[in-house]
Amino acid sequence: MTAEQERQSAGLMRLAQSGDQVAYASLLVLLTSTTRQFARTRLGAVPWIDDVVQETLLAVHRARHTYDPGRPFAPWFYAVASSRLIDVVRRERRVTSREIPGDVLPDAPVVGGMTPRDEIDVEAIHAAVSSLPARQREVIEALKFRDQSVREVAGRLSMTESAVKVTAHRGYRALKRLLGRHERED
Amino acid sequence: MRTDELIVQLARAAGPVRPLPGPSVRLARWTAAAVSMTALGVIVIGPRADVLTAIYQPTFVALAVATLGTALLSAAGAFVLSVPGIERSPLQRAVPLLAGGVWALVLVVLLTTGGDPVQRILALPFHWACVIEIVGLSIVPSWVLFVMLRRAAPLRPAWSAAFATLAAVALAAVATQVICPLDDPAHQLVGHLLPVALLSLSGTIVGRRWLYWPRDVSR
Repeated sequence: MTAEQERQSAGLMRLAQSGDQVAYASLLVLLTSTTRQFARTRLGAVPWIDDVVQETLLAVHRARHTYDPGRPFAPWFYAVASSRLIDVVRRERRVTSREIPGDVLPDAPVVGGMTPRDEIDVEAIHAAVSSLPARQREVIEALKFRDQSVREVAGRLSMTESAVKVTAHRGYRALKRLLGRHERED
Repeated sequence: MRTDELIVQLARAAGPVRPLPGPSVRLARWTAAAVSMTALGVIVIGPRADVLTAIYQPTFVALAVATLGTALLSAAGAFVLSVPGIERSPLQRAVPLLAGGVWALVLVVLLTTGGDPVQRILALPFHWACVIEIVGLSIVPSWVLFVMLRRAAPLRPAWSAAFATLAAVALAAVATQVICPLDDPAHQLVGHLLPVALLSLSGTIVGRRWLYWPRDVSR
């Protein structure tokens, strides 16, 4: 961040704290390019740079009351951006280490004219999904029952794509627990 | 969602906000509240019978100062860490730990100068009453501190949780020193300092989840 950007950002943040929405939008636009550059310098050309940018903007929004107008803006902003960048990198690593692309999975074997899919208790799955917290239920229903993309779900629910993935992941874990319990009860 | 759409949404949702007071102001407020609550707790439980004599003993005062110093420096550390970009050096994180080290050192010196330190420690002069007092007196101050930290942006939740718990339990340990009639450094070490360390560790493990920031990104 240059000295001019620092001065400009600090001024815009002061106005934003007093409720000036135009100044706030200008600040977020300015921070978008700053964050993108910051993330590119550290991560290179990864496909999830926009996740870092959006997570940072959301974090700036939630933390804007913690900015002290008497202090420089850059240390405050870069502390927030670094924290979000680290979280997104950790999340992406976790996802990459656990997920297998669909095209490398083998076809389900057919045994006695039935695929494993036929043996799934659909009612139990629907019941388990219904018992999830509202946001997890909405995300999983959209992704799995209505075949919507992560981007579409993020847009409809006003969430970032990363947040949709994390919510879905938490939902899957909860489902796994619920369905495991269901099987034991049977 | 596209970034430009997110910006429009965030700008529309942005009302005026009151900037959070600085760490020193928040520390002063917490200290005033926590010391008052802890003093009230001491009055309710009842101070040791010889308290008026004890407070003039140099060893009692040295120990109380070291413990209180640990509490206040830990609280200061927790408040500093909850504001993005305000921590100037990682050394700031070491200060509360050093203060805790000084407290331990004071006890070790007192124990050694008293003679037969190993035997006195091996006797494990531990009393549940002191642990219960430390836990009981620290509940409200630690809850208040955690609530104050959650209103900020603790980017290092584990450190913030550790310092917040250490601050509250160390303050409770000062109060327990006023209640507990045993001045033996072996008891202070095993029955006061050790529970404080273990409680701080537990508070770190539990509290870091509660302080995780930013909250409700995905919920």
